[in-house]
Amino acid sequence: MEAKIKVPDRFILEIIDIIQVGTVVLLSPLIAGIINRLKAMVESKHGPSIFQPYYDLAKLLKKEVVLPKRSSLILIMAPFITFTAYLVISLVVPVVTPYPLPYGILLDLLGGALMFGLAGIIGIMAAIDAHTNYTAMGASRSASFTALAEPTLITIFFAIAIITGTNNPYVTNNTLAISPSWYVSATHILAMTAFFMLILVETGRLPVESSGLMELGMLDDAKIMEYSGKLLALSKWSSYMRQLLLMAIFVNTLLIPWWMPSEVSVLDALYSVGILFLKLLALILVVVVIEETFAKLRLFKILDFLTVSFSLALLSVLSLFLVGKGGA
Amino acid sequence: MDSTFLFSILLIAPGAGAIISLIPKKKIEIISSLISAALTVGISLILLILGVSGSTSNGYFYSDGLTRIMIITISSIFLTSVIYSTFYTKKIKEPFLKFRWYYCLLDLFVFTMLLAIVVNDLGFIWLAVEATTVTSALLIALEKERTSIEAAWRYTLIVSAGLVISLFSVILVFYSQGTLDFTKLIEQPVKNTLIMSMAIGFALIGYGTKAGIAPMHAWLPDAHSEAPAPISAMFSAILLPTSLYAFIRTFTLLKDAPQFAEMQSLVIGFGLFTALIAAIIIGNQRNYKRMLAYSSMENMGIILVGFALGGIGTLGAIIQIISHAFAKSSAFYTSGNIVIAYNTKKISDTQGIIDKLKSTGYLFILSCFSVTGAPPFGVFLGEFLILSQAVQSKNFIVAIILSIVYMYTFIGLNRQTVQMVFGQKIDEGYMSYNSSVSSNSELPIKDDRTINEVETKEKNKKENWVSILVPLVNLVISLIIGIYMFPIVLQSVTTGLK
Amino acid sequence: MVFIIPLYDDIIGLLGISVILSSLYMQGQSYVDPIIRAIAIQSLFIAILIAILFLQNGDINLLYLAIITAAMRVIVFPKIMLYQVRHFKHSLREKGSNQKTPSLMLIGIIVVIIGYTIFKTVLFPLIPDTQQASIPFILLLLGFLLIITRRDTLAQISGYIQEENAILYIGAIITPGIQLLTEFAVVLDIFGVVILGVILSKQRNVFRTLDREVIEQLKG
Repeated sequence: MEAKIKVPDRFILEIIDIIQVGTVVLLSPLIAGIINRLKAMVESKHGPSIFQPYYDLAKLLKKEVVLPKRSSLILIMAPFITFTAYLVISLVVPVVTPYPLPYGILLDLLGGALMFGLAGIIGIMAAIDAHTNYTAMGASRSASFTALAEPTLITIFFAIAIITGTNNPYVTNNTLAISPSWYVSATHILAMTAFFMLILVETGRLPVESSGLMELGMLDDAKIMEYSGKLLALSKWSSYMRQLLLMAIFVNTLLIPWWMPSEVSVLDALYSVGILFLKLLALILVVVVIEETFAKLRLFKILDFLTVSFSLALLSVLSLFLVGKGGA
Repeated sequence: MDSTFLFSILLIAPGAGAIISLIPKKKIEIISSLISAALTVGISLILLILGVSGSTSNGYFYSDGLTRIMIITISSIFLTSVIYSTFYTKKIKEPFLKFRWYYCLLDLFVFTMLLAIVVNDLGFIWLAVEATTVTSALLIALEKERTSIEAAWRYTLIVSAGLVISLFSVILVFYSQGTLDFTKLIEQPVKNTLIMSMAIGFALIGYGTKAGIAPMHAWLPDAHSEAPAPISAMFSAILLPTSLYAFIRTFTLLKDAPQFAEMQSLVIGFGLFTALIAAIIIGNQRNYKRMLAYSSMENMGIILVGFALGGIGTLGAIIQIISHAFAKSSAFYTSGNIVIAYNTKKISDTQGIIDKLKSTGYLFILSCFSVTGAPPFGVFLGEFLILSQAVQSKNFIVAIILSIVYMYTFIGLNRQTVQMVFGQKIDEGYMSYNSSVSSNSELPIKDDRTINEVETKEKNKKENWVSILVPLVNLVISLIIGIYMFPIVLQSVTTGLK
Repeated sequence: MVFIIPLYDDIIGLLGISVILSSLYMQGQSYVDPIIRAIAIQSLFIAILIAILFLQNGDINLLYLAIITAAMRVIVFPKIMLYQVRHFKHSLREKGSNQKTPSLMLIGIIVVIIGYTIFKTVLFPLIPDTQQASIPFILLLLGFLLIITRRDTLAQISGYIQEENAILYIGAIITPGIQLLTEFAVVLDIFGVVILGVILSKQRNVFRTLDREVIEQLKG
């Protein structure tokens, strides 16, 4: 993977960088909009436009910020830090290119996982800082769930790292794309399942969470309850980005790593955005189907759900020892 | 006469007895079981006298000295248990099984045990030992009480789960030696001794579960105390040794391997641990059948030590197997008499048996003396031989622990039995008043019926000749073994010393 | 008759892990029905595994073994147990058990790790033929775990069948030529235990709750 990068390519690569980050930032509300619309359609409702998240963000960005009296700087800083963390992650994961971009050396998969963890912990701290009941409730809930979700994520990345011998998401992508025998390997299947369950948790989907303003069941939305105006817009945007990033990692490094044009060119990168969009659409369809078929779990059952996911991830690592490394 | 024929008859007799028992005709189950039991005793005597050894011509059966002893033990206990059952089963008010099925399963139980003893294939030995579980589990539940059903299920589950491990051991033997045929296994030098010693370790755990080796003995006291007396007797006297026998068969294969000494000390360790645990627990028992069960456990531990020590220890173990079988079955039969008379298994409620059941009381205490190794009886000889082998082979720690176990068991068990038999019932007036109140709770209204009931109860409680004679015969046999074997033992000990 | 199977190692590995997974699933269930179904599925995996071994080795015994397994362990035993659940008011759920069955699943994972370690340190030097021999060993331990953690008769029988599955598995892997007759006898034996369990569980259901007195009597 140590492809020699020619000097003129450097400029192109920077452009592709911008394309990649731009994709994450700009496409993520659309994905959220599509999910909402699809859900409405499955429920035989008309539903909001798929561009509704954009309108919401635009509206919120125009509004003024009101903060609780007793809050401190953390509450204000948190959305910025979170947003930045996701921007950094979007620089380094294979969203549109199968080859590493110039900033790819910043973080490997494990580093990415820790970055996600950073964003999560900042969110929790901010929620505690808001000093209201709902945010505190959301903080405690998400803290207890993160306690299981975070190790799961790291374990999955361990599994992937053991498969490919490296933590580099691009190498993983290539390894899987080249040797399809991984698709019958228990390690890969279990890791994928665990990761998928984790995505359901992290993006606040059923059966874990019904996104909306139902106070008793909400997790993520509770944490940003005290935000308003621009800060709320940033928080929401961050969560859209997190959703897209996780999905992109899932489809591009684990599930369907194919069809990514390997030529270093701007056009190919743009073409790749289209491919990614189609892959995400497929994933969204599955997610929506799951969301519409399952009932919401009771709150303490979510821990069971996470336990299962964690067990699968752990077993996926163990299976490497039990049945050997497999793969070609 | 080809010995295959004899072995076949030996197995067919209880099998046929089982099938005939199911014919729905009155008393046929008792007659067929008696005949088949008598037949097995006859055949096993013939086998013993002829001294049949080695494998049969078609290679299905194998026998040596231990086999013949086991066969005669099993068939004798079978016969006495069937005879005693005719007395005991009448007293069960609401049986779990029809008596046809009881006798059928009893015969099948013996069939599987005999199969485990004579068959010439480790796989089939495992199978037969496992089949004894299936055939005997329902027998435990015969009295249809909560405790007995729970005990039956515990027994089934723990023993089956344990025996799976010994199946693993069988597979390891096959993997390392390439055959399960016992004759071939003896003839060929042992290969892959490391795997074989692993296999023996698994066999110890697996068959040990069934033989009541600690710490896998959890089922044993429950099953023994909850089963009807003839079944408890069979469990203790022949089922546990059968399982030990299956282990010994595997164990002896390793004889020439370099790892034998290590495995030997492992087995001795398990045996001593079992005996010690049982000896410690015996003293605190409040249920006399459980107490006897722990005594069986102690005996099995000592027998295991005897086999593992080798030399005259083996002889001691064999003597102990056979004499313990007769003595312990006698103890359980008499305990059955006591259960019927007192309708309780608590030691505290059965004080002063001698006043109520004279001969049962004497028999009970004598057989308890016998199983704990009182001198004229056979168990004493066995225990003595094992101890002397431990001393001769300079295993002094083993010898010391063994002596402690002997002493502790003797005192612990007999302290209680003496109290049961000769002890004064504390405040007898109060006790009888209490019991009359509980049984005559409707006294003012239905006066006549309750009196009749009490009368019939009194009638039922009496011991009859069967319930006295059967334990007496077994006790006498145990005594005869002790006396008859004494010169032989003396000789072997003295030669061993030289 | 020997076939070259593409991705042979991977498929065998996948089946092995599926077996472990089904066992962990059983740990995580507090209802009886899914446990019985899981044991059927687990047996099916093992039957498929043996069939694949047959295609690879061409040893006709393995084919018979696969057929016996598929017929008895996949169909007959679960059918009997499910019949018991349907028709004799067998309580569907563990009574009085703790609700934290998923934590049992985690304990199961720990048992997997322990089993693997034991296998690797103690047994692996002896059975070096295949690395997969660790799976049946772990399965055996998980079977014990299931028996220990449950009080329901049928769940415990499932644990027992799982143990026998483990033995079948290791037998098929390390000794392809183990006598078919023995295996057939083993199946008959499980049959016996299943029937026993059904008979006794009927009675146990009558006295569903074990009162203190009973437990007191079976103590010491």
